[in-house]
Amino acid sequence: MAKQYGMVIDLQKCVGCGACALGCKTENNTQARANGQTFNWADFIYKEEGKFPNVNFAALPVLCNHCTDAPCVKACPVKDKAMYKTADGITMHNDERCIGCRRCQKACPYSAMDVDKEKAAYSVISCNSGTAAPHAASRDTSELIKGCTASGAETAKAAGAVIPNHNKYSHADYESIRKQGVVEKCIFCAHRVAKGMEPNCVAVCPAKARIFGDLNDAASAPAQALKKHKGVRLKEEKKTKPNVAYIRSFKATGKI
Amino acid sequence: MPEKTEPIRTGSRDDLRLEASRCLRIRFSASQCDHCSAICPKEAVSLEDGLVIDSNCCSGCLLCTSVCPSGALEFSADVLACLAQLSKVTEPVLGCCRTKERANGWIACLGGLSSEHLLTLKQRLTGQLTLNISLCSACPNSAMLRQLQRRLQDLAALLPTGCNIIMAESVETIRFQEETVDRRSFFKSFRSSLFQTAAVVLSQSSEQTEKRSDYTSKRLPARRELLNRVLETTGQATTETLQKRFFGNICISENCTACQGCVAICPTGALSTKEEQADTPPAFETARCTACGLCVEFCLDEAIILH
Repeated sequence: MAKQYGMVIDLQKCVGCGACALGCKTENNTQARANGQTFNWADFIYKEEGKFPNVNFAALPVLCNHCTDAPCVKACPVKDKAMYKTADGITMHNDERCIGCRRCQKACPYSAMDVDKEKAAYSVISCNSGTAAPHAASRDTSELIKGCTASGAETAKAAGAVIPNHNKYSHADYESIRKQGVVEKCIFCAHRVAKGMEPNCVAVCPAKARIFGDLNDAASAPAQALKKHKGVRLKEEKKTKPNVAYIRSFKATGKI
Repeated sequence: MPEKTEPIRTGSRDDLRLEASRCLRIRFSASQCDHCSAICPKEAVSLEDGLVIDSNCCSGCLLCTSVCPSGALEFSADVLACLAQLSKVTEPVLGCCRTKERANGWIACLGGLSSEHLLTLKQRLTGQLTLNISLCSACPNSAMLRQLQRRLQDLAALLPTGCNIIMAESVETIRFQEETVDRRSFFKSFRSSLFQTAAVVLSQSSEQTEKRSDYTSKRLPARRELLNRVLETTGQATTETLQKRFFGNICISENCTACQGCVAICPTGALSTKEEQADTPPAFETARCTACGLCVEFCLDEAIILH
């Protein structure tokens, strides 16, 4: 059976620290949130429910679900799709073929065209502006604190890179910093997986809440976890067959 | 014993430059554009799996390049260099790869001369231009003759001064005059040196026959670049007639949700997102529109109407 990479997130282990989001940002050089685009390939949301004093609080890490029936892939108009499924089940995005029409973003049940306007909690697909180069903060020549600190542009120049902490990696489908006018999303750190490493969000999780592997391999860690606990997937009613599952739901309650 | 006949050497697939990322069918898999395969007399173009030209069938008539609305198919010959050659004599002759010995300038096959090319030649040359078609009727590429004729008629009807380009079939009627270096032609060639410099830059970029380019990059087809340059020199009435004939014009209805998808799909950059106004319908530049209709096909809201 062909591989199907997937992820299981143990919500009782997750402490909601957001290390996954930071780990992803440093690994994939994603830019800061701007113009309704989050650029958080790995993101997390806090859910607050109930009415004081009976309140619930839960953290939920979110990322591209690498759906088996991915609507983003269906929506991609380009021949030899820019958004496509790899043989091992990753929903991959090719920078070169992408024309930036954002049909994938529109089709994805987990994405919003503009998180601010649509008041969406998160968006797994983000689109780089077609008119300005990415990483505005590292091109900004104004000092962060006047007469005190260096500007973003100075720091980047001193580091000799586009951004000061540029993690330079190479992959056939995407560049370590995406160019303007194309969309971008989580690719399960395919550049790391190819080297036998785990996606960075998994590696940096201090609570070991994220389990990555081949869901079709019954002996794999995520398959074992799903066997032991009932997995819940987001928006299953959309029938996209997401490959990111959550186990052992956790809610911090206000009751003492 | 039957006489051994040498096969006629026409141009080939090598005279074509293919830039797949510009093909409407590749940019949008549901596009129905079939200008190239419809005009190809050899059935060498297949659109089933992207844009594929069968080198065995293609005989280089270049007709496809004259109808491709996005510049995905263009010919590699340098029109501006050819024009510079032609402008050295008062009544130049333009030939093809088979008649180049009896011509002042040549391109692989005259089928590649689109209306835009013919218009450029007409406007840039002062004397009458003769197209050497003496070998065309017996050539495997003879299908291009009818198209060429139609284009010339079309052009003559469009322009108030008519069209000073003639097609000469018999060798006797072709008044071929070798380039002479008298005072007059010396200055003439000096004047056209401007074209030649531009030509060198262009020919450097056309070395590969299969060009890979970024899907997000936009440019006008070479044909259209020529036309736009000609339009800078024509009088107002002629300019308006030509714009009406060659330019596309679109209307964006109120159905538009300002998703900017059409901006991305447009291969020529006629549509652009308005700066600081990303949530309004895109801006449209008619001089960059080749009326390919891809935006109309692509729009989910059916908000674009092409005139």
